[in-house]
Amino acid sequence: MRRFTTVVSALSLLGGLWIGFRPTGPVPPLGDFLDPVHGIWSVGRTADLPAKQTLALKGLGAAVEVKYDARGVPHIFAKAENDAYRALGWVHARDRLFQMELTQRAVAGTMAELVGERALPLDRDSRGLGLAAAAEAKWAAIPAGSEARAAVESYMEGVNAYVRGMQPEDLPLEYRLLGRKPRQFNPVDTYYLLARMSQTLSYQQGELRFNAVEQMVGRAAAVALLPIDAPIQEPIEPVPGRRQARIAPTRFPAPELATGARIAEARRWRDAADLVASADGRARESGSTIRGDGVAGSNNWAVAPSRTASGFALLAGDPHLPLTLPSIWYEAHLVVEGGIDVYGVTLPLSPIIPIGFNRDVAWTATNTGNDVVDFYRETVNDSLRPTQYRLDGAWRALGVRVETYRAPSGRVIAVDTLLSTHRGPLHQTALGWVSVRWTAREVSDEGEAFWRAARTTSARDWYAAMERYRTPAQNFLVADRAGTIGIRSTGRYPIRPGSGTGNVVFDGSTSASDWVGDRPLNWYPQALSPAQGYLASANQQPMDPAVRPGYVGTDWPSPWRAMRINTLLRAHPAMTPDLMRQFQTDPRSEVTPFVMTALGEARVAAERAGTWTADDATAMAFLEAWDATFTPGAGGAVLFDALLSSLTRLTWDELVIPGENRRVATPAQMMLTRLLADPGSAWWDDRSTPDVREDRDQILLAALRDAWSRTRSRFGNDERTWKWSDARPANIPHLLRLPGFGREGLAVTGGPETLSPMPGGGYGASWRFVVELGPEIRAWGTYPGGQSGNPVSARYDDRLALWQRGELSELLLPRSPEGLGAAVTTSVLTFLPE
Amino acid sequence: MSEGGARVVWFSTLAVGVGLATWAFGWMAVPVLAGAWAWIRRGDPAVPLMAALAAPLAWGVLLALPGVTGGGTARVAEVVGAAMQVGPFALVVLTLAFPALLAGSVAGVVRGVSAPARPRPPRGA
Repeated sequence: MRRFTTVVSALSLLGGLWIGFRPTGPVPPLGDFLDPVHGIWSVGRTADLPAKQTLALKGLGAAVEVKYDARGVPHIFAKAENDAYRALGWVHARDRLFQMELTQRAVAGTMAELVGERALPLDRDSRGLGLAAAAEAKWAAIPAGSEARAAVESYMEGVNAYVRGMQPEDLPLEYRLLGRKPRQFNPVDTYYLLARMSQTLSYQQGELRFNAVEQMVGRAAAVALLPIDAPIQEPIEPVPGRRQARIAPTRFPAPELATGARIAEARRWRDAADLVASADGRARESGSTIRGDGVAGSNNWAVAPSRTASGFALLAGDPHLPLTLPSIWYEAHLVVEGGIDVYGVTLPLSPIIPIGFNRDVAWTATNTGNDVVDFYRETVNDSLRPTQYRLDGAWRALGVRVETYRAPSGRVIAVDTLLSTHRGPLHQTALGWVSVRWTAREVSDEGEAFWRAARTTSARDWYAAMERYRTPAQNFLVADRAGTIGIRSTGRYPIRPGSGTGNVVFDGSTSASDWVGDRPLNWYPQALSPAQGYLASANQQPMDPAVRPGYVGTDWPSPWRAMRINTLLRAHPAMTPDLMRQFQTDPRSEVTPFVMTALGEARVAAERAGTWTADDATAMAFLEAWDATFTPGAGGAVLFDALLSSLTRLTWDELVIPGENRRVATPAQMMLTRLLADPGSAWWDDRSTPDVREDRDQILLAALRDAWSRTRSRFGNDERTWKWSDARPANIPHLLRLPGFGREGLAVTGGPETLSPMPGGGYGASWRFVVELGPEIRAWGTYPGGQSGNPVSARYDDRLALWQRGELSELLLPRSPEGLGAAVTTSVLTFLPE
Repeated sequence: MSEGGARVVWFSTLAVGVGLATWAFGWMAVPVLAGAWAWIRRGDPAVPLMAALAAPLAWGVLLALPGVTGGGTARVAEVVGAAMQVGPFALVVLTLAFPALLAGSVAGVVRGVSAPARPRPPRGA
């Protein structure tokens, strides 16, 4: 018996030591993990910032004082600019270290080395995009000794100083859960981050989907559904004298329904689009282009002194990006004696302030969405294992890059051979071999542009500083203390051969298909202090082609937000910062009247035909009683949203490949509203009822019934209990989608087509702020989350409630350490030269 | 001192020792210290049980000390328990069970290999 218990004890001990030292599946080694002093339990010790801390920091020229205000914003006071960046790197690392490493690895395609083999598909996609090589090339092209380069190097020294000095309790929770340790960072990592932003904001494959649509319904119909020019124009570049959006007459040629070979071809184009888009899951999920409605939607607007109550220029920024915890943004204020004094949101892994203000100028951005990606069908010498591609009658060697993927242990888990032409990566698709050219992969220096912009003193200077900014193209909105407001859609606009449009797949066998240059700066969509006294952008087509033609892109998002902003700005001749704040969560959508008007007409038609039922009347009455707002308690919004969804499905059934259940592409919603103006269009016909030809009113009625039935089924038969917040809550996941680290089911104001679109997850208002450019700048802002990346910290999500309510905090702008009073100072960190 | 009183003293010694050693050296101190302690107390048949109770007691006290966890034990249990999909209570139980396993089993091994085996009865008796 004794021997038996000894053996059992020995086995138990071995088991305990094994799980203590070794990971078991997804569970990290339990010894270090569960240790109450050094393991996960210690993360609470670093949840709050220490009241006072003094540290030596290598490379500093003089002492730097960092004072955190009550919102957790570090105000960094330094005597030299690079010292400020060094300190910023350190404070970024303290609060967001894991996020920084994850960002870099996402672009480098080395996530599997951190989180395990399940990340291999993501790594393959990332390396296939070739952004890491582009980041390396951009960094290599920055002149040694340039000030912008020194800023990045100083910043990264600060990051690495933090990593080197970490105590066991400083290790972020995510590393503990993964059983990993942070690595040292390199200056080029900042350019990995910038490449990531380009991927998020400019990688599109619209032409592939256009071709799929063309196969499904014919060329004329495809051109009408996914047009180069939006039929509703509320451009960024103001049109003098125009007081409302221009709605162009739209004709939708009847669909030429596909059969046999064309369906197969449509499937090939769709699959090719999916493959090329694979690095961007949103495209696959939505069955649309990545710029489609309800995916991303940033807003900004500025008002000149002539239209503000105070007589000072006002600027509002509201960039919408993937919402995560920790947030994509980190708020910071850098003050350098005799130098910059700049406040704004930074992206951890970078010293740049892409959105913010200094003492004279404020700036913000929305995505331009211009076409910067082109596809080329290549002729290769071997369809299975090509080594050469044909160009101008001669064979050229393909670029070859061997990519090795590793597990956390260092074991090789896959090896890929990636090919490229002079245009970019070569993909094998259902269409054959296709290469991709994309501005994000070509050399430019956005870091230097932002570095220059931070020290400007006027809107004009700001735009001059940003002349060399290339990607991703942004609608940069600027206002200054002199009262100037301006906007310019800044970035590269490639000039294509032939018609100049890029919504086709080019013939790769000739260099005549290649870009022939870039549009000059004065061609960019832009305006400076227009007579109307305000400027706004919301990802819409930037120039009205009836006023200034020229190819910018295609398949534009519906301009509902742009229309709403302009409506609000026109209606308020004495704008205030608080009104600007209220606009950011304005609950109304410009699409509602289009649909409700048509629905009213459908009711009349149904009553006349004797098909209007009591249930129809109840549903209609419920919609009519709705105040057309997308507020958390609004029940009507639930039914209206379901109605739009049903209407979209029933209308665009011609775009579904038979036997499948998703469309090859979904036209922008403005196309649906334009179609509503044509009740007899062949597009209203339901393909599933070959013996009957439906019209608009019948489809609207069917959509209403379907929506009513689905909503009752989902939310119960008592419509008084329906709430918009139950139907479309905001969900903010953790970076690794770890349960418990994200926040889900958040009640917010805003619907798919309002100024704060919340399509049920993914994108959302990532940083709302308002700046008043008076003699002393005043500003207000918030973002969904908090400054800390530690999920145990109160600073992890302390801004969430404010963000949900659509409120902003006043931003504190001390000019010196003494300017931030003790009552609002929560922590003081002093760096001394080592 | 009575046998019971001595056990209380030795038990307390181990608990305090495990707490301090964990603080200073980390979790590996648990089996090392428990092993040494069991060797000293190898004549006591209750050694494995005492070790299996003293070690989690020590870790439990550490978890309750704000200086160790920053006062965030409940919050960490909630957040990490959710991430691991085990719940906060299970995470605490796991944290206490782990040193119990190490200390109890090492004490069992030490006692098993160190105490003299009982003489076998003569063949045929």
